[in-house]
Amino acid sequence: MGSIQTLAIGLGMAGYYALVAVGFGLIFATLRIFHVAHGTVFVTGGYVFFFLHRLYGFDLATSAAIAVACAAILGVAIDRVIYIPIMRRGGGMFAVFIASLGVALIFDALYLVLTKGVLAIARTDSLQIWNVGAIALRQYDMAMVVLVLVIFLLLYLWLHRTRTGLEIRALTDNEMLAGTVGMNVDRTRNSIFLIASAMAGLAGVLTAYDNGINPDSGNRTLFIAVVAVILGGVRNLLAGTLLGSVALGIITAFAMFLYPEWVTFCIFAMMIVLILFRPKGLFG
Amino acid sequence: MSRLAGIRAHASARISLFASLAMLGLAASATTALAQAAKGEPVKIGVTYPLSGPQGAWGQLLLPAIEISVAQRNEAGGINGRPIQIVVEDTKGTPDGGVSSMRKLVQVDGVPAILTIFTNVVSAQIPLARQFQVPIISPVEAPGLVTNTQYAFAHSPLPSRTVPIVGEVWKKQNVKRIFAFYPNTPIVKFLSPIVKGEAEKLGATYDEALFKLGDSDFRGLITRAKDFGPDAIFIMGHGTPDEGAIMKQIRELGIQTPLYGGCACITVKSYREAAGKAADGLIYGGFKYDRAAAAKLIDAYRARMGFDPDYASLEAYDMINMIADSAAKNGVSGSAIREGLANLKGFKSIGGGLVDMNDNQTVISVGLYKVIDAGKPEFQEITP
Repeated sequence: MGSIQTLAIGLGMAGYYALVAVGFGLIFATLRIFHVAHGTVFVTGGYVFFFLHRLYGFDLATSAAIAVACAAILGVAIDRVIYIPIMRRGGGMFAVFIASLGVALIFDALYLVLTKGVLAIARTDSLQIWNVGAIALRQYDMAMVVLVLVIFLLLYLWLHRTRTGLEIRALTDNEMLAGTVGMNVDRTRNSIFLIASAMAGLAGVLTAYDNGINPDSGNRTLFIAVVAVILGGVRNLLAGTLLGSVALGIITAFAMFLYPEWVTFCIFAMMIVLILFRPKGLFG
Repeated sequence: MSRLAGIRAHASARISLFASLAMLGLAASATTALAQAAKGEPVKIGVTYPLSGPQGAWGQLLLPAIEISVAQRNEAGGINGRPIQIVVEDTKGTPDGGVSSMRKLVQVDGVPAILTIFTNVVSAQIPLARQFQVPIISPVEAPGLVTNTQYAFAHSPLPSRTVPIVGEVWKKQNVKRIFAFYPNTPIVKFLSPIVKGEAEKLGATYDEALFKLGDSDFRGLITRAKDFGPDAIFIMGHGTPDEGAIMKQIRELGIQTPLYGGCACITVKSYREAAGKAADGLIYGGFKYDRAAAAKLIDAYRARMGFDPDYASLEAYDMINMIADSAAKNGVSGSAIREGLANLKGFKSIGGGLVDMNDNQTVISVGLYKVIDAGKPEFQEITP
């Protein structure tokens, strides 16, 4: 019974990881930026939602919409104000990575000051459950699984049925060539950050509503998302990150059930073993 | 992360209360209060409470009660006519934070006594209290922690008294399987044997899980409890929102087993908000106090915060006055205040009743309660 219940919990957790991982993977695969501040975008979405809904009494939908918009704008702003100027001045990927880390730490410190590190849970009510035999399924988890699948389907259509999607895939294959054949790289870049950040913001909103967030939540979720991307491989982004996230959700849930002190160990030990044997990921 | 924690600690730590005391003083009725109000050089009392981190939510709720206690004491003449001034440091709820904040309060601010809280912090501060000869007083509930320490005192209901009355309920309800949740902090070292002892007395099977403070998803541990098939679940820790979240997640995993606790933490706003309706029906043993007797604090707290103070606010209110009484009687040095606290007799608690200090630990009333509506909150005293 415990195993099936844990499996159900793991699938719910996979939803959060998938939303963050696919955005991170999209930015990494197309622009080669190790966007550490993606965790900041995630946690910003969560905090904006928490403050609007819980402290200022905005309804759920309005709070969520504003929070996702703020996260999307923040993601684009980080790229335009930090990353692009660094690259224009000749800074390489390592300089961008350090800047991204700096942004993440600055926001981390800011949220610590604002919230004192106290867990911010945006709901006071209990979630509804479906009892299937001895297994309790949270309706919230089921709704999130459906939501994530719909988002991934829309992402697939966007990447494979639109001109922007075609440009993004071209960027993934060869950025220099894409630029020389007249592609508007700046516009495509904005689209990538906007969509990726909106998804991270949405994951932040869902997490803040579910179990709550604290300033550390962004970094913790990001690291798991990075492992999911590595696990799936960046060449087959959608299927790879989705399956990587599901695998990590299940592993995390079982580790929390069996050896809660060993969750971090399990995730990163698995990542190292995988990199050793399949450096390009399962689908790379 | 330690760098960030440092920024947070130093930015928010020190709080001067002169402004708020002045406002409260103006609001007080004119003639008598002003005639008795304390003047002159203030007597500093240190406060090392968590204002950030997992325990910060509670610390922030307790500080107003301390401030009200100081304001009311100052209106009534302070310590032999001298006003009390509190100097607050944020411990972040960690032993390191407790030690560094205590060093700062004693060595920089020169406080002769300190109000503090939480077992892990107090454990680290006890050797320092003796070294500095500065008494610390806290609502820690670890049996024996402050006994024979000379400079450490506690004002709290001990679990060795609250858990057995919960055990009486288990006995009456013929409970045979008990699962307990504790935080993975030093508090578990004394809590676990007490609860396990109650289970053994009943011949019940017992298991437990330790959760990490600051985590937010406890469903893995709760699934373990679900597999165990308990007919009683006991949850007790530091009164943090984590414990409330565990209650909520227990219900969200379809477990309808009755919940029990060993403190009046449901009176803590941050705790009950995290628990929500899941705490309805919770049975706990805890500090028994008379709300009518505590009106002086409750009314002032409600006027300021918009809701009632929790049980630990009453303890904090008392502890300021215990230090003040000791200083008024014996002098304002650390050793004089220690002498006064060690020999405290017939102290009139804000919760009603008289309190004596016995082996550095006060003996205060405990009762058994059932939560009727966690949202209001509404709870009633019951018999096992």
